[in-house]
Amino acid sequence: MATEVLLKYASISSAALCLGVIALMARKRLLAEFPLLGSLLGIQVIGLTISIAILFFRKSLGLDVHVAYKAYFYSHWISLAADSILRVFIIYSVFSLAMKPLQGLHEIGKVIFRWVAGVSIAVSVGIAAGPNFTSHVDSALAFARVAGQVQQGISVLTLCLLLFVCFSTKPLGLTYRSRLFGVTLGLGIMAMTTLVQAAWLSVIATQTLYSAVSLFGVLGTFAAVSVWATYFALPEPERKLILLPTTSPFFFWNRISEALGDAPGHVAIAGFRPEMLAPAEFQMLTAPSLKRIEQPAEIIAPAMHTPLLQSAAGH
Amino acid sequence: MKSNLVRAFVITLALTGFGATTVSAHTAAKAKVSAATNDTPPPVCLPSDPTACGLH
Repeated sequence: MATEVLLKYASISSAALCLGVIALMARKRLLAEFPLLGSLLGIQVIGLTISIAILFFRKSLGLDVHVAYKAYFYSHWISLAADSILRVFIIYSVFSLAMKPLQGLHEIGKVIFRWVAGVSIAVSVGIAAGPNFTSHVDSALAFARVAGQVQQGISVLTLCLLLFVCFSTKPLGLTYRSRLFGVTLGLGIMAMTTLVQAAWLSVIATQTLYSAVSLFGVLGTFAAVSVWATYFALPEPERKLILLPTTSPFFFWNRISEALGDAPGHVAIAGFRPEMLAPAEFQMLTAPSLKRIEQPAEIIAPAMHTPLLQSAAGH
Repeated sequence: MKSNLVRAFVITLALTGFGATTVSAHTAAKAKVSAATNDTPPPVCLPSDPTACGLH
């Protein structure tokens, strides 16, 4: 009962905080900078509103318990799918913003990111539809398992991004007070919560919505949104001047990455005929040779007038 | 000092997450629904569950 009461107040507080952060972002014109994060918060508000209405005010709404559970089940997994898609795009946009100063690495990172995202989704679907997944499983449960696996893959990707941003703040010109880091940190807290929830659910046989696992999840969301609220409320320091040593691997790999994908030059090694050139090109190419042919006469003629050569000629 | 604290916190988050992944990977076969969102309570039962997953 205590868990249920805590869950109720934590859910209401989380929904209110999400709305507060959206309002703060709108006031500080940050929705243009982080539009996907605004959408994610919007989806969370909708999801939390539905869950609060069904889990705590079902009787007041006059909903049948089985109809209410079905509505909750489908709305939850639809919201999860939207949430997962948005998280992928948020990770991508955070990565793009973080790597902005290192254009070469940004470009190559985009290619790697697409591959990782594609392979992660394929592996998730593969695991979910693997040997443990038998044909008698309900289609709703099948969708839930695929979505769950995809979400876990995305959470691991988020934690990897958080580690990267955390340990590369200097070459990226960021500080731990940068909003970009704050957004990544909030996503990281959410990712950790998701993964712990998944592990927790796999080891316990809970058959109720009002469990400690649910409370843990809502508190995780509350913590992540609080981090965003703090970072958006505080003034952001300017992105620092990036000064890297020439031996820095970031500088080195960025130079290499910038060169990758450039259109290559071409050289004719056989089958070339002078007629292939335009007259102006031909003239330009032959001009230095003509000059050299004419040069000896000009050089020899004044040299003949030197006293040494004149005396030699006299003898 | 502050940056070390932030780094330690981030490492703890990441290690907890990665550790949880290994647990769920070992026990995935047993779980009915192997994952959940973190913003709303996860519905761990089928839609046709006679108890409606404990919904009051």
